Parts: sequence; structure tokens; C-alpha cells
Amino acid sequence: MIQTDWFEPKSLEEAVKLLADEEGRRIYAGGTDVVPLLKYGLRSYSGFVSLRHLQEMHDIKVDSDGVWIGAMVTLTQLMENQTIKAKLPALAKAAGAVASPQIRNSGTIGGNLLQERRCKYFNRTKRWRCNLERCYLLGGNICFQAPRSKYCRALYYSDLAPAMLIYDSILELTDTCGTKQIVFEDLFNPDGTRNLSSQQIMTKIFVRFPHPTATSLFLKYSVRASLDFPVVNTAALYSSNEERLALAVGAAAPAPFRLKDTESQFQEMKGKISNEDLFSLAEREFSKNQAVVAEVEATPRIKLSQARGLIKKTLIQLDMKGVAKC
Amino acid sequence: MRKGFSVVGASFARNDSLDKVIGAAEYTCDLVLPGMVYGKILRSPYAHARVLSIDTTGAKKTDGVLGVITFKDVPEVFYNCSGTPPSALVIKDEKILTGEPKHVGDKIAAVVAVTPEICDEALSRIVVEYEELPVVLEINEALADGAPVLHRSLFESNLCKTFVAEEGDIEQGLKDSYYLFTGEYKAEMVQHIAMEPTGCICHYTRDDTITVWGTSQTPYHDRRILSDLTGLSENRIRVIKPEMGGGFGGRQQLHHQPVGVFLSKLVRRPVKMIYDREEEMYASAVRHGAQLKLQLGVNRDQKIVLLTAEVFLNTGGYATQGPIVLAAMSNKVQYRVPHYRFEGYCVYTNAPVAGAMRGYGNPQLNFARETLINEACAKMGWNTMEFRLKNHLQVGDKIPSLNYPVLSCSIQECSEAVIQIKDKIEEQQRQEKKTIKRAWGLSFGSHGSGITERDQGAAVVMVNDDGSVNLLVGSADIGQGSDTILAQIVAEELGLARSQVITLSADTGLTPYDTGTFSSRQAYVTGNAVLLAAQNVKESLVNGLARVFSTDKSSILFQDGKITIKSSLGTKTLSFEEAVRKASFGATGQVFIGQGCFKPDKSPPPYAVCLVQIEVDEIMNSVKIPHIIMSVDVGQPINPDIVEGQVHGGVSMGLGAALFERIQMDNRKEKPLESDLLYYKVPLILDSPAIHVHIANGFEPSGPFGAKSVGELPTVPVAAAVVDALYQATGVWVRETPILHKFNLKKMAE
Repeated sequence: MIQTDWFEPKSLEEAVKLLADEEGRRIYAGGTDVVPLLKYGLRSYSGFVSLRHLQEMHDIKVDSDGVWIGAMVTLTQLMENQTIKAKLPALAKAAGAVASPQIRNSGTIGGNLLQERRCKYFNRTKRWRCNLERCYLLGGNICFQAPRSKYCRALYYSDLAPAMLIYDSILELTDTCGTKQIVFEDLFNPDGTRNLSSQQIMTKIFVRFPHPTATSLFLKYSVRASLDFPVVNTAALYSSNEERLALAVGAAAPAPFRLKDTESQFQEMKGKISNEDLFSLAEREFSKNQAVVAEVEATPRIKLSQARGLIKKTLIQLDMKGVAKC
Repeated sequence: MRKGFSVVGASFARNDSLDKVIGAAEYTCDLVLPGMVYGKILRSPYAHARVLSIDTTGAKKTDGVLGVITFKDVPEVFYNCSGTPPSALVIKDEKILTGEPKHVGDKIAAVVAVTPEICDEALSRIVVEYEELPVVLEINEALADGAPVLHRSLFESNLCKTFVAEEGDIEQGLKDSYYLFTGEYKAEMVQHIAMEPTGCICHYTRDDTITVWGTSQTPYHDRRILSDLTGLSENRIRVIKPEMGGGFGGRQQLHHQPVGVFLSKLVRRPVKMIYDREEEMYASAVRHGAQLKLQLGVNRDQKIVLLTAEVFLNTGGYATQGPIVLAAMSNKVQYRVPHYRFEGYCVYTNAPVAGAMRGYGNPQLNFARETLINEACAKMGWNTMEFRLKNHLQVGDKIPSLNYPVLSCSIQECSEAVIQIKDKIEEQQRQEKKTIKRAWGLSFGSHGSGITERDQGAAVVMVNDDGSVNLLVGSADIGQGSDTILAQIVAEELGLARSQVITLSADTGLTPYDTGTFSSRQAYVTGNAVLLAAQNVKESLVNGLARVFSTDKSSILFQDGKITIKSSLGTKTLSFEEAVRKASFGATGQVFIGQGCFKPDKSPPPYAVCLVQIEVDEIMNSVKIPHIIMSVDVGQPINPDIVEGQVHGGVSMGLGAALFERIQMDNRKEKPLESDLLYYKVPLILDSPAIHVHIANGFEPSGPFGAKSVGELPTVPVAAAVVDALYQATGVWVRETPILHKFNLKKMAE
């Protein structure tokens, strides 16, 4: 049985204070990420600070430029919200692609974005790990995936992340020192760590509406049709007016990434690039950024092949006017 | 299906359905006994090691801990956990607890405590110093020169059994082969994933009796092995099977019961032990990983003249059922093959231990054989269905490598039925606007209905004085519905309504011996025993009535549920109930008990024809299975809904193994990778195809009311049909299961 302190603050102020009061306390949102980690003995906390009573964190507020989504908004709410479905379809689709209905009913947008990274040597019971030394993720000094690596190579499997990247999202973070905003992309450091302290609460997320003529989409490939983490996922946005393409990939590195060279090439050529050339650019850029990590369901080679397929599919389905079909 | 049955052939709801649906059914983990405590096992984290020292002081001092045992505290005898009758194929190579673990999860020590949580705490306080030993995970590695030998005291190498079956003359077969096809195939280890975890409650009482409640397919073998291990006679040991959430072969063996018994002996209280999912995944039993090499010889008339199979099985750290799996594999040939040779090798490795699993070797060999046939047909442009039908066994043919003939076979009807269903599906699909790349794949399958020689079943039919009936059988209903269909057989024979018969099963203290639930044997073997018992009680009732009415036995006639008695008083027609009342009481009254024992001399094969439709996403190299059609010849189905349910379950299980289920060992850390249900990919409902079932109009003369078997059959042919469909859609042959990753790599290589 897992026993820890449990707090249910009524205000954000109280919540940040509870987190600051004692090291070792952790935010509890939907619980779908953290509870399995507790059960496997991977994490232990002296207390949980539940955010369930912070009403402002449960709201979705639409303004003219975009939408403010409270970090406690569930994945089910996200996938069913009419405005998000209409104006940010990749985000709604990504939310609907997460795990299973039960997990989407409980899991939140904040929790999904801040989910722990995973690796086949990390997500294991105590019994499984008992004769292995502690890896970086557990406070040790080794990465089993890449024994000479200076940091943990575990992958980040959020389905929402690629969608967040193409919509240029902003996160609002609060702690006892105050509130600040960061660009979603800046959450991630190159070594896999995050620009977020354990005392900060991500309260809400701003997602900008793309140009009204833009089209955007999200695709996921996983071994089974539900429940599984992605082998790879993609999100893309095409705005014909701006001759702009945004293309993001997830589950292939410690952080989600945009295929920026491909995007800028597209912009330079003012969209006058064949789908085939675009595809080979994207493919090359992906393999340059892909982390070489062996997973239970896919070797890096298989992942590369599935990613190529998914990127190709993404570009085809984006249906960019004036761009030659593959 | 024969007409004229009233109870047999009707789809009565199963005895246990309602309780299971509303959550009232009591499984092992639901049981709570007075004074009950808990036990847990310390398992080796190494695939191969030696325990140098073990210190249990910390564990023993933990509050709430009642006792700790290690491999030093239990009898140091070799045994075999398999729930299978004793034979030369049963190799005794395991210990109750061991100081030399041979796979990850091998049992080292155990604790008994007042709660499961305290057990965990105590386990973490046992300090073990291991010496790591060299590890072999693959068959080839294990057989290589200089490989570490896992059971040096028993064998000189890791090859623990060679099994050969032969028929005809291979030289002649090669001469007769105008075409010769060869193929090499591989099937990876898979797990059963029964919904209910393996569990037991063991109670070793102060007057030296043992009761074990638990997940068991074979209570009588459990009893025999526990008797050997404890030295107590079998009458002092009672094994009871509560409701069970599946077995699929995984519980055709002992798991932690011997440890539970010795923990209970220490505290003389009931000790409950329930596996967690991780123990279930790699420390219970898996299906043997297999490497197969086949040769198929065909003459100019497209007749099979030769079939040879060379099979290597990865049995993991212990032999358990491996040698018997080889023997069972060797005789599942459903074609006329004049020259046949099977050569099987059972090999130790440090992979998870393999045991029995639905199909018992047949799924692996069927996958190889049916794929080779499909490859041959594709090469030559032969029609896969026609080729098979042309070569299929028919009534009167002797089954290759067995000494008895086929008595029933509806393969023609099965093959026609699947085509009809396929045509209907295609008709509907033609109306869709979407164009998707689709193709169909075909395979045949067969199995047995029980085992011969070592098999036997028994039944007791007790007629109560009100005419109601209790059926006692040792056979375990583990969710497949045997309690229900066996009651149907009694009701049919005695002319009763289904509801007048209640089955009590699988309690070695109350029910008669039965070899157990495996080998798809309940309907045929136990069914025949039950039929004999019903006939026996009928005879006894006729004798009783003859006495009561002072008439001759031949003047009493059972017909259509009525009993007509001719005597000096005239002709009287009584219902079963009236007759029983009449004959039970009074001066000449008696108790009516019928008994039946059945020992089969044949194992009639049921047959299946399987068509699989595949959809291929050519950009992703991914596949989806929208439809599976299966027609089965199971003889007379006793309960068609139960047969259909078995086909649905079997097809799903076959599909999982064909598409994405596997247990891999990580080479770097020598650990099983699929240790939970996120990593291990069982098909979920969105992955599941529409399953179309057809039951042929069959009748097996040697079966009870014409029944054969169904349990394992539907799992067998699925993989080969999936692989064929994939070839038909893409031109790529994948010769390994699960196919998914291999298919992707092959496409990449192009």
C-alpha cells in the first residue's frame, strides 16, 4: 500500500505554498501517469498536492487569438470541445488518440505534457530492476540505452506535444515568486531535462488559432489500435496564405521536435516544392534528430521506417494546394 | 448434426454465466478462510546464477512475518510440475525452491505473513548473494559447442529429448516427389494471459491433511505430485477448483502450490498466494518458441507423397511438458501422407519456462506446414483450397503416425461454407466507396479429442429420490463450459430437462478421477464417461423397477423421457421422476447411482477451415484484419453457442500470436521484456476482426451423441492464414510469428 500526505488546496496561492513548504511533494492532477510509477516503486513522494479544487485550472476560455486551456482540463474535454475541434483539429485529434477512454476521462492536458519519459529499462517493477544499478532517471549515473551518454535517453511519448508545437503554444507557470510564460518548445532542454521546477505549477496553456485558411492534422502510429504509446506521432499545419508549413514529430527523442529545415525550405521555395522533395527533406531531417533508443515494440530501424511512412501520410493528407502529389 | 435430440444440440445458457456477469462468481482470490494468511515468493532476478549465501534474518524480524523458507528448508527432490499422466516423457528436473536459478523468476525462497504487503516488505529484506553464471537464451546458442549445460546432473548437453515419429519410407517419398518444397519457420514464445491470475490457498492441517483451493486444470495430477513431494497419501490431500478465469494450458501444471503447502506446514494455517501480473508473464509458463524446417514432396498429380518436419523447441529452464508437446505435435497431420517423418528436439535455455498452451505444439507446426503448402501452391499456381481438399484425410483413412482411422470428416462442407461467407462479405465491400488493398488467406487445421493410452475419465450420476440428478465429474470447468455440456449429455440420455441435472466438478475429495482439462478432451473423453454413467444408472433403475413391479427387465422401456412398464398389473407409463419415487422407497427400494469410466483408444480429430482477410496500408507497411471466417467440424455440437464462443476465443488467441504477441529476452540485461500488459500486446477490441463462425453438420460415431472437440482447434490455423493473406496482398512471405515487425523489415529491405 502506498501512504503519503494528501493536500487539496482551495487556491493557487495555497497550492504553490504547499509545494514550496516541503521538498518531495508533488502535484497530483489526473494520476494516470504518476500512480503507475508509484506502484512500480519508481517514484515516491512525501505528499501530493491535488489541484482538483482550483476551478480556474479546469476552464477552457476562448478569445480572439486563441484558447486558454486550464492545465486540469481532461483529455476527454479537450477532444470534445467544439472550438478546439473546429479551430485546432490536430489538438482535439491528439487528445482522442491518447490511451483509452478511462485514461482520457481522468488524464489532464497538463499531466500529459509533463508526463515522465519512458524507457524499457526504467518502466519496470522493483523486482525486475532489483539487480540493475540505478540509471539517470532514478538518480544514478548511467543510461542503459547508451552507457557512454552523459544524460538519460528515455523517450517522451506525449501525443499532445506535436500538436502543441505546430500551434505555437505558450505555457503559464506559477510559483511563490510569481507567474511567467514560456514558449512550449522551451520547456525542453537538449539533455532531456525540463525548464520547470518541482515547485512550479503549470496553470494554463495558450494555444494560438492558425490562419483561418490553414489546415492542420495529427496522426499516430501504434502497435495496437488503442491503449498503446505511439511508436511515432506527427502533427502538421499548412497555411496557404502565408505559404507556411509546420511539421512536428513525437515519440522519437527525449523531446518532441519540429522539422525546421524542412519548414524553412518550404517557406523559401514559397511552397513551390514537389511533395516528393519535401518528403525526402523531412525524412532526412527526422533521421538526424531521431534518438537511437531500443524499445520493446520497435527497434530504431523499425521506428525510422514507421516514421517515414507517417510523415509521408501526413504530407499527403495535408493536401497542400499547388504542391505536387507524391 | 443428427435430428432427434432434445437437450443435446441446444444452446442452453451456461451454469456460471449469470454469476460471472454480475460479479458474484467466487474465484480463488475471492475466497477468505478463517485464520488465513498470505505467502509470496522471492524470485531470481538473474537468468542463470548460483546462490552463494542467503540471509533471512531481516525478513524473519519483520512485524507480521510468520515464517520464511528457503531452498534449504524444503525436500531437495527433483520433480516435474506437469499435470500429465506419468510416462517416460516426463523429465523430473525442477525443485520446489532452488539455489541454482535457471531463468528470471525462478523460485529461491518464500515468506508467510499476515498481509500481502508485509510479505513484500519481508521479501525485500532477504539478502541473497548470487554468482552469475553464463546465460543461453536461444536454441542455437544452447546447442553450440561449449555452451553452459543447464542440467549437468541429468544431461550432458542442453538437449533433453529427441522425439521421432515415422511412417512409410522417406527414401521412397523423395523418389516419388516430382516437386519438392522446403521452408524454414519460426514462432516466438507467447503467454496465455488468462484474465484471472494464477492463485492458490494451501492448508496443511495439524492432523496432516492438505486442502488446496486454486486455479487448476488438473486437480488429480496436482494431488499425485503433492503426495510425492509431501509423503502424504493421496486420500489426505484434497484439491478443489473454485470458479476459474481461464487456463488455456497454463494451469495444466503446478505453479506455487508446492511452496504454499510447505509454507502452510510451517504455520498450519491456510496460506493464500496470488500471482501478480508480472509473475504471470514470465514466471508461470509460456508457449514454446519453435524453429521448424519442413519438406513437402508432391507428385505430378498434385498428391502429397512426402512430409518431413524437423522441430526445435525452446523449453526454457525446465523440461516440464516439452517432450510431450513434441509427441503431440508429431501426430496432427490431416492429409494423406504416405511417407512421413517428424524429428523433434526439446532444448533447455535460460528463457522463461515453457509449458502447455492451447494447441500444445500444433499452432507452431500448423503455421509452418500450412505456410509451406501455401508457398508451394503460389509457386506452382495451384489453387490452395483444391490442393488441400485433394489431399485431405477422408473417413476410413488411417491418420499418419497413428494406428486408427478417421471416422468422421466434414471438411468438404467446411470449405464450401467459408467460401459462401466470403462471397457475402465481398458483396458488401463492393458497395463501399473506399478502395483499400485487401486480400484473403487460407489455411486448414485439425487437432485431437483427448489423448489415447494414458487418458481416462470417470463420472458418477446420482439420482435423488425426487428424480433430480447430480452429476459428479473430476473434469475441471475453467470457463469453457464443460459443466454445462456434460449435464446436457446426462439429461439427453435420461430424457430429462436440462435444468434437472446439476454438475459438481473438480474436487478430488468428492468427485471421481479425471485426467484433467487439457487436450480438448472434456466433451469426448469425459463426455463418454458421463454417457456410460447415465446408461449405468438407467440400467440400475430398470433393475429396481423390475423388482418393484415383479416383472422382467425386458418389459421396461425408456423412450422419449417416459418409462413404460409391462407387468402382470398391465402396462404403466411413468415419468422419470415418478419411476424414481416408486423405486426409491418401500421395502424393495434402493439408491440409484451410476458410474462410468472411459478410456479412449482413439482421439478423433476435429477439423477447421480458416479464411482471413487482410487490409494493408502500403505507406505504413501496417496491416489490419477486418474479417476472419472459420468453419469447424466438431462432430455433433452438444451446445452450439458454447462451440461458437470457443471459436471466437480461439481465433482471437491465434490472431494475437500471429500479429503481435511475443515474449522477448533483452540481450543486454538478460531480462524478459514483455513483463506487463502494456509491453505485451494482446489484441484489444479495436484490433479484433469480425469473426464469422460456421459449424458443420458433423457426427463422430465414437463420440457421446456424436461429439468431437473444439477447445484448441480454432487457435491452430489462424497464423498461416494471416501470413497467406499478407502474401496475397503484398507478395511478401513472412516466415515468422508474430509477423508485424518482420513484415516491416522485409519491406524496408526492398
